[in-house]
Amino acid sequence: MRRREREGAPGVQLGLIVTPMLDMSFQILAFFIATYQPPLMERHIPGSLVPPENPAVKSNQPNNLPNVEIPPSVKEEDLLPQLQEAILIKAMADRDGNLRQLFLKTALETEPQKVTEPDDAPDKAVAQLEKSLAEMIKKGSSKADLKLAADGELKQQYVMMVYSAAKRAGYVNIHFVPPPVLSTKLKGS
Amino acid sequence: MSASVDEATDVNLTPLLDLILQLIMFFMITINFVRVDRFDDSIKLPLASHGVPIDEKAEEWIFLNLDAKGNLVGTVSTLALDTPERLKLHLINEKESIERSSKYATKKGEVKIVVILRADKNCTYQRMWDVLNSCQRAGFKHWQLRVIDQRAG
Repeated sequence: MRRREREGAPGVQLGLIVTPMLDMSFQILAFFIATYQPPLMERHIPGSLVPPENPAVKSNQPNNLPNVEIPPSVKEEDLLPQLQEAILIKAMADRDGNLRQLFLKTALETEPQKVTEPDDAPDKAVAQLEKSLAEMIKKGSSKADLKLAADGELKQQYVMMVYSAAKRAGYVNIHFVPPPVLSTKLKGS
Repeated sequence: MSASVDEATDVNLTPLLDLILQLIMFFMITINFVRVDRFDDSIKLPLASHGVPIDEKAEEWIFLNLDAKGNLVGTVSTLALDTPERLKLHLINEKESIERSSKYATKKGEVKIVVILRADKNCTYQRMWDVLNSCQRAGFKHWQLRVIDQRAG
């Protein structure tokens, strides 16, 4: 009897109809493939925002100062002592926001010293900066902090190029300095 | 004769269905629905070496996306945040909202909120600072600048 059924006996077929389910599955699969986000290549550069009420001092004490509008930057002389002594990288921009020239200033110097010539190619300029910074490390300033002061018009990609060069040279603590335009406005206000 | 032809053309779909369901499971697990601000594809991030891998230690994040012209895009683009003061007020509201919901979740102590700044590579340094100043004045203490790993880029 069983053998006869297997051989194709007449009757109602009770098999599961898979085709609609498969159609639906393909549609869901297509949706997920279309919206799939590959693993991120994003990284981050961490930073801390020093409380505006007392930007020069890192403290755990509560803020008892009145709620007044504080300028978004601080004077050079009000900065933490280690930041005053930090090496300054000055990145100048051209009118299009591209990297124009780089300068370096140590605590011993009164004026920034040019590292590159105006309108050097950004890659060349950054390589030259890295070389200069690496030489400073050899001279013993490896533990020094570093300040990056870029023009307000400079594009982020160049700021990051300079930052990366400083990191590659071996500097650990790199501080972003508010752009000079802002500082000038504050001094004037 | 005809019965044998029927048997030959009857494709077994079960393994195919199994495979497809497994693929669906994989994509369902890895999908991220809140990708509007976190992975805004219109923002072309700058390349940088020595970026730190993204950590999940922060309890809360606020994502701010700056496009090439320095405009805030993403979910906040519908709000009128054209001045630093308006942005500051918006951030204060966001911060209070997060802290309130954290209190309801019976979390004690200060909530660590990190501002994630995703600035386009053509965005100006000045604009980045404008946004950071608003964050600072809104009372945020931690921020991260998102970059693309140079080796990957």
